[in-house]
Amino acid sequence: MVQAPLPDNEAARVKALRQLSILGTAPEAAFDDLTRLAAYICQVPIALVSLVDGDRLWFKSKVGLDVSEIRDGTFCTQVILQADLLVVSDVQQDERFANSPLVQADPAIRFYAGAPLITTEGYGLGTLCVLDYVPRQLNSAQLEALQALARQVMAQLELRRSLAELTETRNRSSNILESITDAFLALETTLLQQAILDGANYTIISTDIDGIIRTFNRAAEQMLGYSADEVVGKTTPLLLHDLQEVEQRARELSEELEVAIAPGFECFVAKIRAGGVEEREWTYLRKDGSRFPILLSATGLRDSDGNLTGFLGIGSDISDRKQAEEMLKLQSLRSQLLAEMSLKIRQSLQLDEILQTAVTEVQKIFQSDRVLILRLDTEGRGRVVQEAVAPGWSSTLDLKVQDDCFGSDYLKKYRQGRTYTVNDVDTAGLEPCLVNFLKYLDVKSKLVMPILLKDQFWGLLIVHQCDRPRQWTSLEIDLMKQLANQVGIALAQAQMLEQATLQSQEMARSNADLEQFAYVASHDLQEPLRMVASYLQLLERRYRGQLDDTADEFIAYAVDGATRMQTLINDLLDYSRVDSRGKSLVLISCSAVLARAIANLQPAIEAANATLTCAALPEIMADATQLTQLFQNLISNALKFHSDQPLHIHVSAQHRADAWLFSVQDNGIGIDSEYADRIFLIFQRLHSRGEYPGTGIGLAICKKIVERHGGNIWVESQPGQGSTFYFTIPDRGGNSA
Amino acid sequence: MSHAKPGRPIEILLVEDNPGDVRLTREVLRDGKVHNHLNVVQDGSEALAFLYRQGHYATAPRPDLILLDLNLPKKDGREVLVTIKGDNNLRRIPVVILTTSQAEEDILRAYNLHGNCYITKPVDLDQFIRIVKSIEEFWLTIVKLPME
Repeated sequence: MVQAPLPDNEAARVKALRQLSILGTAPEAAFDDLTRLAAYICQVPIALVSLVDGDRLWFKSKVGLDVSEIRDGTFCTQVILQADLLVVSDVQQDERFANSPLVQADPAIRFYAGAPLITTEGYGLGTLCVLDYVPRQLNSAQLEALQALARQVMAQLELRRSLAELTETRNRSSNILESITDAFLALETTLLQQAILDGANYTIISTDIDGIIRTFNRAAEQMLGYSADEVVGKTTPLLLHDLQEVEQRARELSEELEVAIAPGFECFVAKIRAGGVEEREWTYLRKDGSRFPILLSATGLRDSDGNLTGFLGIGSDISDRKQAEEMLKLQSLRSQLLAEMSLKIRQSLQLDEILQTAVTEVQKIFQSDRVLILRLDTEGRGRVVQEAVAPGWSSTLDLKVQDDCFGSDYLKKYRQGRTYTVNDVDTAGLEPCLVNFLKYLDVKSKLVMPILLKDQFWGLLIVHQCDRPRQWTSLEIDLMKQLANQVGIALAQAQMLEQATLQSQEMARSNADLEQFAYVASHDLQEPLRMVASYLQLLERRYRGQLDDTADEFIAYAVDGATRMQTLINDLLDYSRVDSRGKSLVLISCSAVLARAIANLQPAIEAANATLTCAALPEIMADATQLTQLFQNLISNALKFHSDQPLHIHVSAQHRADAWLFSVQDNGIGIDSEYADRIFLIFQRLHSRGEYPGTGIGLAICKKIVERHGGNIWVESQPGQGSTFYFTIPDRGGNSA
Repeated sequence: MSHAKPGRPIEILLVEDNPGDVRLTREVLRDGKVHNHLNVVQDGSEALAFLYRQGHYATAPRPDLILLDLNLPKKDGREVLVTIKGDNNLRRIPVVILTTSQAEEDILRAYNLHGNCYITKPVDLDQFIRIVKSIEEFWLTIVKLPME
């Protein structure tokens, strides 16, 4: 087994992974959607978000696989070493993977493609990977999509990390709060108290027993915008808190404690009168009216006899965490939307359907009045090829956009991938003619995304709001961008399908042409040839004796030429028919096939006085007619190129990895290794016709037959030492020799 | 044994558009063992006119053996074969496909259409002579055919 070394930073990498607190967590829709999408796009049965933890692969998300982890050191190492997309069309053929448990045992995968999940610090955490039970390839659009999806997965993971970090900070700050409180309570020196208060990064506000503010530290002044002088002596909470929030809390507490709690100071201290600390999230109002979320720890202040003398509230700003949570929520929502829409868009490989789905879905999700797709030709002329319009607004379908007021370089910018938003047509400072154009279409606000098809600028996805100006949020813009990307990928796939279809039609046509040619060759070319040969012979027969010896010799040459030409035509025909006339591969006995080949050659074998031996041969999946021809050509080749000593030909087969290796060995004249490759080319002859007759097609036919079966053919030989022709046929089942 | 009545020559219909082949066949049959009469038509339509005694073939004899090339002008040999083998009166006449084509599909098709045998014309004159003689011998002296 080829075991790759672990990277030097493995400890740091594992730490980064652990920080995500994701290992062992339940499946989440945000990841599962992306995995399903990967499997769908790549058309494979298995897709995984696989994280590497030591020698196990743990799957945060899995499609088509039941287990949630697999212990496979080989795979783990390869995966975390991978800095870029890794595609192994057949892992069994790849020495890095061939011995891995994933490959050797269940699920016995053959195909692997993984896009790495790399943190911003460069640690590879794992992959978004797709697997199949059969060897295969991905097209470039699928590869691109896999990478794009991996970036989505990574964005989810990064968000999770920020959240984990913030939670940790919060836990830590809770501890700090406790120690600050303790210190505060323990200290008697007011001066020292003040010093600690002022040095803290937390708002520290103390009140007397009725809620009159006593102290207001520097952090509180900075965060809330009030000076201590302004608030000391005033009653909290109404100054600093959101009334609605306080009322809501009062209702909750009243219910919980089964005592009426007034929506005021009591809401903060009702639970701590009995002792202890209460920790809750609240909203603080700044002096300027703006607000921010805090985590407020409230505790009672007691005198040396344990009597409650007041309260202490320590707050930390949790805007960052709140934002991250919000982001996570938005991100999940976005991924979900994207996944849903991408699935819908990708469900079709028909161009029209893709565009239709795209505009309909975008219109639905964005609740916009008009969504259109503008197709641009090479001269930059645009035409609306698809749209979805809300009732009441005019259609733009087939509208040609070639207006000069867009400016000469506006396409260039889109070509570079820029997006364009106009929140309010009236106030965006647009060229008057553009404003007129947009007003003509009732557009009050718009969002424009370029659609790129394999880096080529294909067109624009445009969202119109007609009933009002609209502030496009970054979330919406981002989502649109991703959707435009998906449309681009879907278009690329549709295009590829179209090309593939065209190619196969072209192929079918050229095959038909070839067939026609082959037929012409077999019939029409031979007709005149027969006439030449037959009548020359008739001439010879009728006028024998009346012509001289030279004439007889000339006629003999002419007849010989015509006969040879016919052989040549027939051989060429055989050659051209290896692929076009091949039968499907079925299980056949090689011994039976060899016996038939030998029977066909019996007169030649007897004439050459050759001995033919053969080892046990297997049953394989093959075209019996072609395999017979293969053996026949190889044996007759040996018969032809025999040396002075008695000819001995030996046929045998061995099993190698996933193929059968056949050999046809002789003790004939051999071949110079210089020509070992050339002899398999059509019309390549090493000897003059006088020495050895032949058309130079026999071995070319052999090569074509072997290749049609998915194998290779080659010769090992020394001049004078005989030759061994080897060929392989893949083992597709069947019995051993 | 020959099923021909003494005195009446065996009627052979050769459907062949290549005069060279017609001549060769004629040369070989002239020296044949069986007293025969070679009728030649050049395309498929003529062949059918001959068989159905149409137009100037009104007095044409019913052939005892048909030698049929496949690639013919107008109606090709395959159509002629279909017609003959689909006709209750004609289908018993042995049809020997004598053609240059070695195409597997032609061979298969000819037999599927109930052609009685398929022979590829050889390049070599000696072989051609042997083949025509074999046909003559097999179909006209060895094989027992129904009396018409």
